[in-house]
Amino acid sequence: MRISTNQINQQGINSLLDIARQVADTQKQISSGRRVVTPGDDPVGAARIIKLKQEIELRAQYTSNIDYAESQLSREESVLDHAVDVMQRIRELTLQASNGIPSADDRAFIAAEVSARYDELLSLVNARGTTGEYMFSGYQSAEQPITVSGDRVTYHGDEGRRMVQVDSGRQVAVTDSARSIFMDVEARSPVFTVTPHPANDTLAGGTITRNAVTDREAVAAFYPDDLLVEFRPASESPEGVANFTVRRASDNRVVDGLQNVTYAPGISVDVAGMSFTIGGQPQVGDRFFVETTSKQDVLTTVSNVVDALHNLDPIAEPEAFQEMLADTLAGLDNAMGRVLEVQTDLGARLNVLDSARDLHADLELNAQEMLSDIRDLDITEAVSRLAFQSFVLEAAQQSFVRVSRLSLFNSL
Amino acid sequence: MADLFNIGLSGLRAQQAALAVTGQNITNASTPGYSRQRVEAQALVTGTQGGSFQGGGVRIEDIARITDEFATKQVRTDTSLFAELNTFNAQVQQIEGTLLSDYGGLDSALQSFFDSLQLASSDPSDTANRSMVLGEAQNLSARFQSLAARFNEQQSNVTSVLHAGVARVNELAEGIARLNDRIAALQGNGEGGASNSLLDQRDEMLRELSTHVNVTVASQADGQVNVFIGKGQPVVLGSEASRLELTPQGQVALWMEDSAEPQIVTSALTGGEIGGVLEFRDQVLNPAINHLGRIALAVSAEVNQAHAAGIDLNGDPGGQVFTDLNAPEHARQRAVADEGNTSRPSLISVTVDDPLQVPVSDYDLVFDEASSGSFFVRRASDGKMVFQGRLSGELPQTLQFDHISVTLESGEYAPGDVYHLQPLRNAAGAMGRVLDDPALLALAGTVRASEGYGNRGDAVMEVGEVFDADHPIFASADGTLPPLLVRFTSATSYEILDNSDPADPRPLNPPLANLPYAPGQDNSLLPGAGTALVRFEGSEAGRLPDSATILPGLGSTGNGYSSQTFELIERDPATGSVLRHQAVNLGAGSSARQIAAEVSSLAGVSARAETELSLSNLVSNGVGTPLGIAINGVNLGDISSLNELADAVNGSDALRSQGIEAWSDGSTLRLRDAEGDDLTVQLAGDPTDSVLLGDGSGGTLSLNGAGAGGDYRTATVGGTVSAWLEPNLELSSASGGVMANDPEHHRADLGFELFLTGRPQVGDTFTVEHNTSGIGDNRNGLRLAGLLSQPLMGNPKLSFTDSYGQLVQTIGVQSSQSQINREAAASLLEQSTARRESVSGVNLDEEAANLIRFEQAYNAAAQIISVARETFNTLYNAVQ
Repeated sequence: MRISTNQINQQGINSLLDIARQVADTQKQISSGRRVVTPGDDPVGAARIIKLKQEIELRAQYTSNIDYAESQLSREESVLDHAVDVMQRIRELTLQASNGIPSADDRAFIAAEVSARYDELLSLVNARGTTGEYMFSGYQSAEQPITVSGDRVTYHGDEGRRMVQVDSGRQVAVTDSARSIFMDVEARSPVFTVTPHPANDTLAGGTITRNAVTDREAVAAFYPDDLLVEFRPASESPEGVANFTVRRASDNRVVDGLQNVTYAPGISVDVAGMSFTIGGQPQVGDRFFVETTSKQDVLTTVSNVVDALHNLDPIAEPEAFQEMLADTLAGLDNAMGRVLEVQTDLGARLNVLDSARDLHADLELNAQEMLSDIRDLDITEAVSRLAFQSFVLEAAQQSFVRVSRLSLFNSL
Repeated sequence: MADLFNIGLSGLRAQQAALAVTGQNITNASTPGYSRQRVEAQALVTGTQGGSFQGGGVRIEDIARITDEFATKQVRTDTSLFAELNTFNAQVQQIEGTLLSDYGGLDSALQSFFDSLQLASSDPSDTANRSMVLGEAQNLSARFQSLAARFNEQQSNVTSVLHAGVARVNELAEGIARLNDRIAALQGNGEGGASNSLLDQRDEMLRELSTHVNVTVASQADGQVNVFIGKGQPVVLGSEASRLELTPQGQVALWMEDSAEPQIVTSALTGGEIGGVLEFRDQVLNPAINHLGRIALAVSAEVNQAHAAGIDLNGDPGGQVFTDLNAPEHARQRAVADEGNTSRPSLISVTVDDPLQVPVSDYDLVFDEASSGSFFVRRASDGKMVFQGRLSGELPQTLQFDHISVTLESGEYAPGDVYHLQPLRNAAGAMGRVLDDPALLALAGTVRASEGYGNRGDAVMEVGEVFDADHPIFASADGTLPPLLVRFTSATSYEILDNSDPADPRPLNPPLANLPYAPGQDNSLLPGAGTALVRFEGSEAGRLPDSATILPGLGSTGNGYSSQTFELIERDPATGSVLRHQAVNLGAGSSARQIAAEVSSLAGVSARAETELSLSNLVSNGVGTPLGIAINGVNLGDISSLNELADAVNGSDALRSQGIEAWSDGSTLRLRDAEGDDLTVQLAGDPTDSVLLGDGSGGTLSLNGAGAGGDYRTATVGGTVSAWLEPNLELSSASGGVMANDPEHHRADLGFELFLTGRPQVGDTFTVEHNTSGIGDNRNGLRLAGLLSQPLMGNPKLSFTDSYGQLVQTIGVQSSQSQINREAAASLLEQSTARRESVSGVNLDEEAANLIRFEQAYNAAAQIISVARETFNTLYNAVQ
């Protein structure tokens, strides 16, 4: 075939340009350390890179979540350890009190230490986390979980638990509520609580206080029904004075003999083995709940024993005194059992965290390797490729110079 | 002798000309488009001598231009192909640049945003963490915007390439037309050789034209060429050139010499730079912007929706995190009126109803040319017609298709009008963060639950997802969920009550009562989204008979229900057409329990029956026959008070086994059959003894004693039926029945889910309330953070990141494929150029040889003259 001079030149130039571009590409790869710089370098690889990068980031995030969860759970664990110690000590003191007939001095001494331990337990229940949040108040972490006013122990939190994502589709709880640990503790036999209705006219100040269970069997028989005390208009009373009616919650039936009872501040009512006192100036329409429950919070259990040590004479009322101590021992045992359950659960959660962490470490490493395989450059290969390409470029340059020097005109 | 002189002279002239042509070839060796020339010489004959012809020297016939029509054409085709692929490839490479980078890609911004939500969820009350979420939301919006800006920049780049291309095409077309004119003139004069350089120029112009757009060239007999683009649209016809024009909407229009209106030729243009950028715009750029827009719409809609389901640090429902990309100011920018439309102005808004499912495509709304008022919508990605309709005559008119709503808000729509709908085009660029106060980040769940202190069962309640934050229940009274009470009326049934007054929980409207519970399983306590509740409560007069019957002994009079037919209709939610029509017939006197069982047999319906009856105003005079009451054939003996009656009912094993219970507060007794069997009350006693029955549906009936003789005044009442219907179902009872004819369908779901597992006992309660001061709650934060890895978009479903990965992969494939194609086209072009060069190119060595050759021939011709002179001299000397 005929070859034109132009063509000889153009072909030489084209191949020079082509090789130069290859050299530049290789150099770009080497300087960035990556094989895939733009999606066009490896379209399928590019999509995989995005997926792998996400996986690595996500695993790192889960790992940091796990670290956070672990610190939360460890803190809770140590608080619970302390709580068990305190309960254990109270149990010992209670046993001491039930051993023989303690003297008034002994009782006062024991009561003093139990009181001190009670305060310690209360502060543990109201413990705060590293960021100042209350640990045991559920979702309402700014609310102090438990307050005590008089002998009423009130839980202000809820049963919400904060979860932490430790893997896709797996969450681990990092909080427990004071209610589940310290409040919902099985009592020796059903007890009751008293609460004013939230809509009561609190300014006027009707109050209700719980007295002792007067008849264990009667309460057990009445359980799980509840009572409702409602202040009625004076017009309903034969004497035309402040009065209240006590009804059964299940069917609203008036408890025998407790319709339109004349109210006097400080009146004590005893229904179905439950004794409570109403005081202050309740308004017409004010209501009070008297609710039975099989559960008693550990603080009430402890404060009951302090009351008993102060108020019950083991010689005059040996039976009531011993019953009270038995109640306390049963309550403490159940409470410690409950804490133990929670601790066991904590241990299980910590194990979950550990294994999840290991899994993430493995999989992250794995993903890193895959990412590197796809995205990163094999430097050795690239450098030798560069050497070869440079060599070809040089050869092409020299041959071009040589060929273009050939011309018949040189010989004219 | 004279002949020899002439022969020599003609040789001199011929070789001179040949030398001149060689010189021309040498000097034009590197002129673009130059075709080498050759002198075409011919031997001359002057006469005959001795029977044979005698030569008369040489004559230059022509200076020929050595070309090969086919090779030239091939070069043009390959040039056009190469220019197209080269441009396409260069454009793709420009947009793929930052897609994978950590600082320009969307994936890293998505990841950072959702990571920050994880972090904030760990410690939801911490303001620093919350601020970080806002910062990352801002970054994510900015990343969307910068990618969109980059794509849009590319869009204007495309336009400027088109501008330049169109301008150059016009220049070339004019040039070719002018050359055509001159070439025809020269060839007409028979001066073919003179037009050689013009032909070269024209070929070169045609070649350059093909770098801009693919052209077809047709040669004419007079030496002119006609040039066509696209599907035979003429650019040059003889000495006339058409004009191309770029419209404001980026379309290429062709103005022909004699036409009054331009013709849009965009879709017909292929090849060359123009074809390359058009291809890039249609195949890469617009789909990429749309794809990105769809991700933006999905992220903003999903995050906003999940955010609205939670509450912020103030306890208020979450507001918008990202811009509402369906807001009118964005929706109204998505329809572009075609430049050819005759009626204007018009206002059309386009909203994307489901960004997770919407196809990545533009649409054309076309008003039928022939029939006034009818129109159709064509999907651009595959050309399918997705909607057909007629103007209703009233605006606004909304059309829905492909998860898109198009609203013709105002204006005029004339036959032949076309609107280009771009539902996704502007979304990524409009993405922005709206939330600006860290405290307003809704990380907490809206609802929390707790179990009653007196519960005896071990059931545990869990609050599920809020799936409709706009449910009216969340907006009642103080703008929050009223406290609800879940109370177990037996181990296997429960009711849900409004617990605003804990001393007196009230039924909800519509009531959620007598719901079934499966102990030991995971139960969803609330009706699912879209569930409707229909209640059959009897006629307005109530369900009690008008008067009591006297029976001589224990027995029943029947509930008096007539026979009736229940019809179920299932409708397609989109079109409203009936998909299913079923009916069940119930005979006269069927109990509510039987009705519920039959209705429940229809797929998608779950019905429960119960029977309630109240007894009040009990008068027992204590004279004559003592007042005695029997219920459902069980004689409960003499009764003096409602309390006594309630105790007797609850103490009867026979009634208990029928599921009948009674509650009395002394003035009213409530009698209930949980299964919906008929309840029969019989009263014996003195005529002055009486009791008032009430059925709760408005009917009352007083029973009094029938006197001595053991007769019973008897009344039987049937129960009520509540039917829960899955979405898109309608249930009615045909006329004539005791049950309401066309009962109201109440919305039954509460906008959220509740789950309960375990074994509750009768009387167990759970309270469900607004998560007031739940600042330590992170449920909604986790839900938001979880959106990242959830496969949500498209079919098969992809996560946000994977959808972006798909975009990157698509562009990557286009880039690498166009790279390969470009290489292939380059080598094709190289080959065809080589072929043309081998025919028409100048080889300097060849020309050097020619120089020597023609110089020698010239010298030889000179020798002929010299010989002729010597010959003449010899003769002259001989004659002297």
